[in-house]
Amino acid sequence: MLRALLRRALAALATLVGVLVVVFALLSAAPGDPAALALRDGARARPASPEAVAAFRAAYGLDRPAAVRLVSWVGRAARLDFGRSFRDGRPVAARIAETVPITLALNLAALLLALAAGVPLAAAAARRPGGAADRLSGLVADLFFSAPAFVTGTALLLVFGVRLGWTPVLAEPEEGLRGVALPIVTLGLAALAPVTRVVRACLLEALASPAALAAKARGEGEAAAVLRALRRSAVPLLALGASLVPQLVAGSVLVERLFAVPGTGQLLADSVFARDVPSVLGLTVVAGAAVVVASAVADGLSAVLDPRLAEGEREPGEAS
Amino acid sequence: MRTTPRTRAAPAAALLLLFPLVALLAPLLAHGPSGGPGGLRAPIPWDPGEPDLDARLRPPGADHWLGTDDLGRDVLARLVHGARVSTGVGLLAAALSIAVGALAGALAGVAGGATDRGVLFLVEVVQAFPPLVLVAAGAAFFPPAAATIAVLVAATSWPDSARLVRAQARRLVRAPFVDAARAGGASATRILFRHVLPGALAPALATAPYVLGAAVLTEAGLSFLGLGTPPPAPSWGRALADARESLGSAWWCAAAPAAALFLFVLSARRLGDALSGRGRG
Amino acid sequence: MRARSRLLRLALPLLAAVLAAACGRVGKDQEAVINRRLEGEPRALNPLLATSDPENVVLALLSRNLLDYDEKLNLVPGLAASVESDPAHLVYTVKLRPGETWEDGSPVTADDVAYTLQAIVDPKTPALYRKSLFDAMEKAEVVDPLTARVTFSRPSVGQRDAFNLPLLPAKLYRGTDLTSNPRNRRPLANGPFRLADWEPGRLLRLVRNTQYFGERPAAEQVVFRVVPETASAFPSFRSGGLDEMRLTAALKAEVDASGGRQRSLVYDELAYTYIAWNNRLPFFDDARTRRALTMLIDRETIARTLYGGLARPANGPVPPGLWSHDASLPPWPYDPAKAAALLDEAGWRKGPDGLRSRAGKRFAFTLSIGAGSERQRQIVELVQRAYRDAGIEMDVRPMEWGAFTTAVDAGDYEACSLALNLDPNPDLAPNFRSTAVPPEGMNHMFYRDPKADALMDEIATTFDREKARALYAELQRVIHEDEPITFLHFVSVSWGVSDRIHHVETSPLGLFLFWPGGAGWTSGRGTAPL
Repeated sequence: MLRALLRRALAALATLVGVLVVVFALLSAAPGDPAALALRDGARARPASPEAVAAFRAAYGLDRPAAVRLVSWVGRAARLDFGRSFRDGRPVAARIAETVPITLALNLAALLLALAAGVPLAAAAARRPGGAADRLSGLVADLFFSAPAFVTGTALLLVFGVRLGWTPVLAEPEEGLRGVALPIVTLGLAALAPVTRVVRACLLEALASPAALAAKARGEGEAAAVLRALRRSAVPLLALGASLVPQLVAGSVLVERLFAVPGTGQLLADSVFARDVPSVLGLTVVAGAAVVVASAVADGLSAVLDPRLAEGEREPGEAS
Repeated sequence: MRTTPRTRAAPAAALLLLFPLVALLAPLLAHGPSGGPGGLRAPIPWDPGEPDLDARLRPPGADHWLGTDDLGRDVLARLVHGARVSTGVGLLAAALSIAVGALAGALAGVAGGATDRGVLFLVEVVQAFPPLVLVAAGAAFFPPAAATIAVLVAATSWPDSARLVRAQARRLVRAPFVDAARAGGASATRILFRHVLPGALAPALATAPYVLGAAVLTEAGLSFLGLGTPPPAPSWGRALADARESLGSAWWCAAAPAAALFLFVLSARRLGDALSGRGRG
Repeated sequence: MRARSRLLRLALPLLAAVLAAACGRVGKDQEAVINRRLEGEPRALNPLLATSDPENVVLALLSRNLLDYDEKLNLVPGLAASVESDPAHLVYTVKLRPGETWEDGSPVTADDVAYTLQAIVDPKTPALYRKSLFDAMEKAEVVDPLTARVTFSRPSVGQRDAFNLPLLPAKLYRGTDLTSNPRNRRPLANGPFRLADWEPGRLLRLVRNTQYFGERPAAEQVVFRVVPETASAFPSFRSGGLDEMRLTAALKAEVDASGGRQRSLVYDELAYTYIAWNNRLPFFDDARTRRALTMLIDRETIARTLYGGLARPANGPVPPGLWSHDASLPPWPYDPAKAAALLDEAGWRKGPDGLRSRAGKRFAFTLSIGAGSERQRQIVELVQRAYRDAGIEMDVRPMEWGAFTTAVDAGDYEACSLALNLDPNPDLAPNFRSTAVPPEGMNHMFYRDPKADALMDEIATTFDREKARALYAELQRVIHEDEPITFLHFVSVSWGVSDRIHHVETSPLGLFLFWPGGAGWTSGRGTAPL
C-alpha cells in the first residue's frame, strides 16, 4: 500500500514536471518579450528604452539562459516560492492565494448544482433508455452544452439581473448566495451535459448487471434499484469528479470576465497574454497538484468502496 | 419492444449529414443577385459578406428571415456559409482527436508495459495542462484559421478517447478470439488493427459529438478573446461572440448560430449513442 | 500558517456571504458613494509608470499635478502655484504652495519635485509616457523647500506642458527600485482622495483624504469596480450598479431612448483611428497608392452608422480638439473610381482574375489587428470587402495582444489597424519624424519626408502661437498629401452617467483626466425630476 502510494506520488511528480517543461517552452518560444510587454501597457504607452528593458531583465533574472531559469524556478517552487509576477512585481504565491479560493468556491457550488440537477435527470433517463424522459433530459443537457457559457451567462444576467432584478448583474459576494447565483448557475449549466452523460452511462451499466437483474426478479422497486445502481456506480462517478478538478481550480476565463469575478481563470488569461511566466507556472503547479491529489483521493475511495479493484488496475474511463 | 441500433442510427445520421451537405451547397443556397454560380437564383438571395450599413440589426422578417447582424448582413446566409467553417472545424477536430486517441489507446492496451506507461504519462501531461496556454501559444505561433483551431482542440481532447479505447483494448486482448488469432500466428500489428481496434473504437466514437461541439465552442471562446477564425469566414462561433454585446436588443444574432450548433451536437450525439449502443448490449 | 490565514481571510467573504444573505442587504449609506467602472485592473498606482487608462483615472483622484489642464486644455495651477521660464525658455522655476501635504501629514516639498524629475530621466526608469517630455532636461535642483529649478539644454515649445506632472514622495522612493517599490500598491496620496482598500482584480475603494490641502470633495467614497466586459458592464450600469461607463453608439442610443435614470454625454476625443501601412514595402511606397487605399473606404457612411454619427472622417494627424487642427483641409473623399485610376497610375493593374498586380507581384497583403475591439473588427471587415471589390486582397490576422504590440513596436507588419491617443501638446515628431523609427520611436510605419521633418523641427522652437499655427497647417497638408497611414476617423466618445451624479464636465481629455474631472462630482438620490 505504502509502496503503491509512493510510486503514485513519483509518477505524479514526473507528470507535473513534464507539464511545466512544456508550458515553459511554449511561453518562452512564443513571440512577445515579457520585459517589453511588462513595461508597455495601455493606450498612452510607448516602447520602453533599451536601458529600461535591460534593467527589468536583470531584476527578474531574464538575462539568464532559459534552462537555468526553469531549473532555478522549479527549485524555488519546491519551497513554495513561485517568484514575482512580471506584471506587477508581487509574489505569485500571494496572487494565487487570492484567486484560488474564489474560483474553487464558485466552481464547487456549480458542480453541486450540476449534480443536483444532473443525477435526477440521468436517473429518469436511465429508467427507460430511449424513452421520453431519456430524450428530454438529453435535449436539456445538449441545449446548455450548445450555447457557449458567455451567451448563457449574458442571457441569464439580462433576465434575472436586469428584467426581474432578482440578482445583481455582477458577482457581489457581500450579498451572499444571491450575489453569486448567476455565475454559479452559468457554470453549473455548462457542466450539466457531461455530468448527465456519465451518470446515465454508469446507471445503465449498473442496472443491466446480473445483480440488478436478480434484484428486479425478486421484486425490488424502481427507486431502490436506481439507488442501488448509484451506489454501485460510485467508482466511475468518483473518477468523473476527479476529472472535473482541473476546471474547478483553473476556472473559466469567459464566465469570470463576464461577471467580473477575480478568479484564477482571469489571472491565467492575463498572465498568458502578458507572457508572465512565473504566474503561469505557479498556476500550472497549483492546478496540477490539485489534479494529482484529487485522483489519489478518488483512487483511495474507490478501493474502499469496491475492494474487488486490485491495486493499479483501476481505469477511470472503463464504465462510461 | 426496443428498436435496433441500425434503425435508431438512420435518422440521426441523416440529420448529421445535412450539415456537411448544407456546407457544400452553401454557394448555391445563399448568394447575392450576381454572385451565384451559373446565374441561378438562390433560395436565400443574400450575399453573406455584403454589408448594408443602413440595415443593421434588423429583426427577423420577410426580407431577412433570420434578421441581420451588426453590419447589416443576412443572418441566414451567414449561417449557411458558416456551416462550412464550423462543421469543418468540428469534423476535423473530432476525426483527429479520435484517430490519435484510438491509436494511442489501442497501442497502449495491446502492447502494455513501457508503451502503456508512456502513453498514460502523455495522457496525464495533456490532461493536467492548462488548455488556455496551448491555445494562446498556438494563436501566437500560427495564424488563426479553422485548421489551426481544429488541431488545437484535437490536441487537448484526444486523451479522453485514448483512455476509453485503452480500457476496452485491455479487455479484448484477453478475449478468446484474440487468443485464437495469436495462436494462428497473426502478427501484433494485425491483432492491433484487425482484432482489437474495431471492437475498441465504439466507446471512443461516443465522445465524437462532444468533441464536435467542443470544437465549435472553443472557436466561439477564442472569438470571445478575439482570436477566432479571421474574417471574412462567417463562423458560428464568431457570430456568437460578436453578438454578445447586443444580446439584449438583437437576440437573433446569437440565437441562430446557437440553434444550429444545438442541432449539430444533438444529431451527432444521437448517432454516437446509436453506434455505441452495440457496445453496451 | 500565514498562507492558511490568508486563505481563510479571502475565502471567508464568500462563505460568510451565505450568512449575510439571510440578513438582507447591507444597509450602508450609498448616497455619498460613487460607483465607477474600470475596464481593466491597474497594475500599479505609481504616477510615473502609469500608462493605461485604468491607472490614470484612479491616480487622477489620488495625485494632484504640478500644473493641471482645465476643461479647455489651459494649464492652470495645481500643486505648483506657478511654473515660469526665463526668456530663453531654458530655466523653469517651480513654486509650490505652502501648506500642501501628503496623506500622512508630511509636507510636499521641492525635494519631491527634484526627485521625481531625476527619476523620470534615469535611463533605468520605464517612465514610458513622460520620459520623452524631459529629453532635454539637464538638472533639477532644490532652491528652497517650496522652490525647484529645472534646467534644459534646448528650448522646446511644449516644455511647459510637461509640468502636467504628478509627484512621487521622495522619502518613500529615493534609492529604491521604482518598478518594484511596494508603495506602488499603497500610494501616498496628495489629492482629494486616498486609497483605502484594494481587492485585487475586483475593486479599489477610495475615501476622502482628510489631509488634502484643497477643497473637500463632495463624495465620501469612490469605488472603482473592475468590469472588463461591456456585455455585463452595461446591464450593471442600467440597473444602477455602476454610475458611469464608456458607451458604444448602440448603447448610447439605448440610453437616450429610454430616458430616466441615465444620460449620455459626448466629447471630441484627442485621438484618431488609422490603418498603418508599412511604407518600406513595395505595396505602400507610393503616395498615390496610399491615397487610393484611403479613398476606397466609405468613412462617411461608417461614421453615420457604426458610430451613430459620433465620428467624422479624419483629414490628418491633428484632431479638432487641438488648437493646431486645420479645419480647412478636406479629408480624402470616398471615390472608388478615382481610387481605381490612382492605382492604375501607380502601376497596379487589374488582371483577368480581377486582382491587381504590378510587375508580376499581386496586391495581396496581411492586416494585423490586436484581439479585442468590437468596432475595429467591424471596420476591418468592411474595409476588407471594399478592397476585394477593388481588386486588392487583404487577409486579416487577429493577433494575440502580446504578439501584436511586439510586432507593431518593431514595425514588423505589413499593415495594422490602431487608434492613437494624443496629449494636449500637439507635437507630431514622436510619430512622424523620420528619425523616430523602431525600436524606440513610434514612427513604426517608417514614414520619411524631408519637408515634414523640417517643419516639425521649426515648430519645436516656434513659441509664437499664430506662427506655429501656420506651420502646423502646412505640416498637415504635407502629411495629408503623403497619407503615410490611412487616417480613418476623429471619434467623439460618448459616456453614460447616472442621473444621480451632478457636476459632470467633459473635456477633450474625457471626463476624468483634467481638473477637477471626477473630483468635482457630487451624488444624490437617484430620482428623476417629475
